[in-house]
Amino acid sequence: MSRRLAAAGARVWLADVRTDWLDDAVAKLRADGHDVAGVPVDVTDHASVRALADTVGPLYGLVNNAARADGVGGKPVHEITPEEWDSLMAVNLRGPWLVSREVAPAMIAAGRGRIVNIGSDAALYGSPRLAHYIAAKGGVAALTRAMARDLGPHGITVNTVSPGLTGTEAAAQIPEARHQLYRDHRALNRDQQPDDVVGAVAFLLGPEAGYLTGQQVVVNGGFVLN
Amino acid sequence: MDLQLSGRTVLVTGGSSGVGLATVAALLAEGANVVTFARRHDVLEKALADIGARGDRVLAASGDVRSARDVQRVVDAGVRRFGGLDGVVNNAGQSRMKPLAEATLADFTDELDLKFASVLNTTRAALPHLRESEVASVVTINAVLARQPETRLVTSAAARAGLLNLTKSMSIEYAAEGIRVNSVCLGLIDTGQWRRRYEESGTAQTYAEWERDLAADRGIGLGRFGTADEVAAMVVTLLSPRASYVTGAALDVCGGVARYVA
Repeated sequence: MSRRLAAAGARVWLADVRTDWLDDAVAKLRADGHDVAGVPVDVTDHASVRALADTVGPLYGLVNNAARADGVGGKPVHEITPEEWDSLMAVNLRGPWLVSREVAPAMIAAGRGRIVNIGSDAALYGSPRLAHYIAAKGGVAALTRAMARDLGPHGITVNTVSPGLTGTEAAAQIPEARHQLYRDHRALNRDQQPDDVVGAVAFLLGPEAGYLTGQQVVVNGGFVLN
Repeated sequence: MDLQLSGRTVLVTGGSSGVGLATVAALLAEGANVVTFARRHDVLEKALADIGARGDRVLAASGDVRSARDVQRVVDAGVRRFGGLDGVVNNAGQSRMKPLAEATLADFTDELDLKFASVLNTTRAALPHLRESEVASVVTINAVLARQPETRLVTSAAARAGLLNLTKSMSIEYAAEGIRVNSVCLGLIDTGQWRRRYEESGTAQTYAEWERDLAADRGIGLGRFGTADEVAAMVVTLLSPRASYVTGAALDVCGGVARYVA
């Protein structure tokens, strides 16, 4: 996503809690001539998110992509512990809200801005043994609608992009049967790649999407049809 | 006299208290942009808010000066935000109170590590940008202790002597590139710690009396502690293009407590 946006001429800030990954990603993108910089953030920590907002200054666009997806599945709803529930919510639902909260004032002052929240089609399908993740991602789609109403008068659009099951590191831990389920039921019969989602995100951040807000764009090869 | 710092950008380490914070305030008052960072962003944020030093000309990031990667990220962010970097104030590291008899080797090396790492990390990360500036200036905050040791502060004195020497080396190394490098050596500056010691002492004296007696005992010619603002004024002067022919210097802000000639 960062590569695509930088290639399109955007100046991109990469923010991540994993500073080793962050520095590697920034170094790679810079080596390719992209205008990127890294900033560490823990989206669960208010002071850290304020530091992020301070560091990056006024933004045109925000993509709330940070989420815990690895190692969260496997338990039915009655076995997920309150601690597991709370810690996942802190990252996956409170996180996008908290970052938006700190970034929005500068967008409001500028009278424009674009926010894209990354959801999941799992929230639409209701994947089994993933209740807290699904509740958070469903929450993100609902949060998007609320933010679109609150921020619309200030010229800010807010949308959700919900990928399907994607070939990322986190997805490698998902059972093969789930991957096969997606393969069998997608309208487009191939595995989803991270690149598949960036077009929708770039479009929503771009000049042609100025009248599109509060919506959920599901990019999943036609698994759940929204 | 206009210090010609308006629109310039300066990185200040340790900006959340004392001399660092006073330097941030002084730079903002001169119209400069300030990049500063601390391990605890909430502490930094509160300190900056307390002195009204917020807004578009301040970038307050989180990071540890001992981490080259943290410092690189902060410098990157500052350059990105303000378009360049014209100055660095190396101001990190406290002095430990320890007599020689109690000091372990680790006490010495820890103190030296912090002081060397903070200066080397910041100056190296800033260097490519300082080379682009026509008014580049680096100021290292040091202490009279570097040249006039005290028995109570032996580990710090040794580390500070190294820091003074390193700063001098940098001034020689970078002079050909037009980057000035100087040290500011502090005497006894009251950034709150002396007030605390006064209150802990349980003395019947007023603070002014207690300060006067202590100043006499320590041999401070001006008879009082210095303030962070008095240090910041010298730091900002050295950052200014008005000090364009000053490099490799070690200037004391010490009220006359230094007894050496050179």
